[in-house]
Amino acid sequence: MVEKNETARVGRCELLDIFIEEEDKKGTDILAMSDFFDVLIGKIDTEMNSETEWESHLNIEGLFGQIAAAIKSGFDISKREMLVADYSHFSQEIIDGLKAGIYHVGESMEVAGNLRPAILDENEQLVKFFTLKKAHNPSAILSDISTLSMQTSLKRISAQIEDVGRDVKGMIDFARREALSNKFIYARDRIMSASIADSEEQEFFLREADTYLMQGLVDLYSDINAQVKKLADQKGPFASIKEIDTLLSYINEDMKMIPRYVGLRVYLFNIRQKEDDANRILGEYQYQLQTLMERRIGDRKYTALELIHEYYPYKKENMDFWLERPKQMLEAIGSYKTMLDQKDNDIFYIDVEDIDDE
Amino acid sequence: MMNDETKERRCKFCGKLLISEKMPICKRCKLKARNKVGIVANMFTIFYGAKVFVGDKENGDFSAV
Repeated sequence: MVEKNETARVGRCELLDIFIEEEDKKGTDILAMSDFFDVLIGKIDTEMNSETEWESHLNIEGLFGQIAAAIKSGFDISKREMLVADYSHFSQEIIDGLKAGIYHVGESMEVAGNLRPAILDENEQLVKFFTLKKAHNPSAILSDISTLSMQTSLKRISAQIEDVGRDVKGMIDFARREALSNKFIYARDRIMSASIADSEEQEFFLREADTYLMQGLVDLYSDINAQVKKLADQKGPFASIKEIDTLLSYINEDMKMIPRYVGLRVYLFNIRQKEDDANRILGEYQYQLQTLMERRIGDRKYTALELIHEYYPYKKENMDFWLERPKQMLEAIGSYKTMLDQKDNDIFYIDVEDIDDE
Repeated sequence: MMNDETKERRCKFCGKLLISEKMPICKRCKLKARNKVGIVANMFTIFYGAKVFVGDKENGDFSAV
């Protein structure tokens, strides 16, 4: 028993070793650090593979539609099975191509001459190989695979916000940014302590880390609402584009930081096997996005996201981002609970190698 | 077939989807135009003011100094 606990503790220590770069370990600006999603995804992936065996499922006939649906939205649930895609290794181009019907799921010949599941284009040319794997022990990895799917969704949300953020040329207020990063820095300190502590201390440090992350998130949610209110107040003869761009850049920074806080909290709860808490954190994030999308502000003519949209300086490739994307973000966040509910289903994982298979 | 009322309306300048504007211009483009007009008006005021000031000085009126 002692040995088992010791193994679990060492395993946990490895899972908590998430600050890799120098900036991640010592920096004070969260937006200058890595987004951590790749590290978290890598750790969950490793843990998931150690907790169950996977059997390659070569015959994908009859599953084409479900596989395509899972790649498009991260996962697909039917009556008997749940398919989860390794979302992080399917590019946006592949997802958009599948949605537009330019690409489809099929089979392609490998160099060795074997047929392998693949994404193909209209001319049946190979776009990417993938592997469909079935879990031997689905219940052991249900929580991990749901968290993995959620982290990849958060990673995508974060990257999209990062991308659209480049369009705003607002002032960078480093003092403000550091103030909003503070709680993350305190949490980082506790996580680093937890990664070398014994089990009892580890739990104590992780609880403290979560308290800081919770406070940081509350600050960010409050700040975003305050900035939106200021945006609504920008009217009359003294309204200026410069001031509005500064507010938009603050809103953007908040929106970029939030998935990092949420992602880390969910990850820590997953390590501590507190799925209900992880679910609650995602529920709060969902509620905040929903509020921005639905609650009318100022003269009640626009919702917060509509107002952001009205003032946002889009580029052609990001047009209408704040009207369209948050709906998809909400769907992605909402999926976590649905996935956790699939206790009796078989789990299939659509896996892709990081390297180019072609 | 879509009639004019249900067809989506976009800003004539930047192309973004309009929500409830009466004019086919989004809030940002409207404000940008207003800010530009403001700058031109300010420049005109400064230029005209300076001209009046110089004219007064030439006429020997220093009351504005």
